[in-house]
Amino acid sequence: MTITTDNYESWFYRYSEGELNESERREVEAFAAQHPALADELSLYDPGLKLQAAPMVYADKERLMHREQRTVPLWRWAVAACLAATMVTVVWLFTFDRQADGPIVAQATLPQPLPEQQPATVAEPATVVESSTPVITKRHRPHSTARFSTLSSKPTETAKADPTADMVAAEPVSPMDEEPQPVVPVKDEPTVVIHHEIYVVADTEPAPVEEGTATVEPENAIEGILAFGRSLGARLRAERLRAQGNAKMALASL
Amino acid sequence: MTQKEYNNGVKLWADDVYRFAIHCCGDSEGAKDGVQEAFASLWEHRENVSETKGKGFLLTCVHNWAMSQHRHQKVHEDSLRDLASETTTAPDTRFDLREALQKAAEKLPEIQRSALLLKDVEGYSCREIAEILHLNETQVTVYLYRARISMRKTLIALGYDNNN
Repeated sequence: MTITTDNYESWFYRYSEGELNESERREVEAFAAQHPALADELSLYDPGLKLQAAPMVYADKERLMHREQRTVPLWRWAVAACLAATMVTVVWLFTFDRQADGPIVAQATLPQPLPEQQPATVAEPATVVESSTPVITKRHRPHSTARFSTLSSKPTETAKADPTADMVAAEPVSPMDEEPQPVVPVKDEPTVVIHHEIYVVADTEPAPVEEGTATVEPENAIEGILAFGRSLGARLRAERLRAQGNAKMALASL
Repeated sequence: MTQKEYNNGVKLWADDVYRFAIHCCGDSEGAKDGVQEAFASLWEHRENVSETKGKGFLLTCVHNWAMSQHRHQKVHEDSLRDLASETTTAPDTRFDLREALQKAAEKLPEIQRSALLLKDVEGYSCREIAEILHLNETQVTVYLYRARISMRKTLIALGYDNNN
């Protein structure tokens, strides 16, 4: 490739930058000798005349960066949702079973008052329970349902009113089968001993119904709690009346 | 180019790209736009750009962006230049050599200035400049030759003739 007036600039540049060999340099010099105007132009070229770099800092580099974006696949969300639903279900079932398997038996028993001190008005409740021993009702419950048993003032009527209710016999269970506390008669004042206890009944074999113990089965735990509250309130009222010296009213309040 | 390589490139190249953009357009605020566009383009094409070619890709983007900006503003600048030439008296020769070189470079055509910047400031070879500016190597040498001759003439006109 020879130097011409069409490509001399590239040749001149390489000549000035020292990129040509000896023969090429001589060819350029010969061409410049033949073209004085271009030779004057070549004399203006100064390879040392370079632009100087001023220090520049781009301060907003953080905006140019791209942070890693964590994208969770859809199937992972689905698995997490299934696990969460399973855990909620298990916890719910566990809680429900505990409520169902642990029915509360609220039983209020009255000791048999002394015959000569027992007023006629309270004779009937006093005969409800022949023994003041706490009892636990046993019954078979195929379904997990909260059940409560309370002592009714009229057990036979309750049993009749709900023939489907499988009334169960009350039988002493250790360690609950304590001896009834002796009743110490007070002069001119009937003695009232109130037993109010709660037992948890386990699922056992169904037991025969025995007269003298009545169980009332609320449909849910709230009713049982309310029954317990009523029984407790009656006991407190009786205690208060007894403290006031009104034994008759105390028995009547029960 | 991976995301990590891209972010590493931001740290390494942003200053140089910003300097090149300022030399191309002469406006720091406009240069920031050019830098952002260049890096956005690099991120978009990161799958096809290797890490070794990243800076060259960015400079190419800045050059293309500056060329497009130059075309859009050319008519407006010409009208302003004509207006300024009527009121300008004598050229201010109280420059130092660095300012004189900068002023002389501003008078160069866009392609010549870009080639000169890449050669002198960024230190690229003619072959690399040709890749960045999408030229052949002979064209780059021609542009560089013309740029240096033009700058020399400008410096002589400004009173900075280093031969004197």
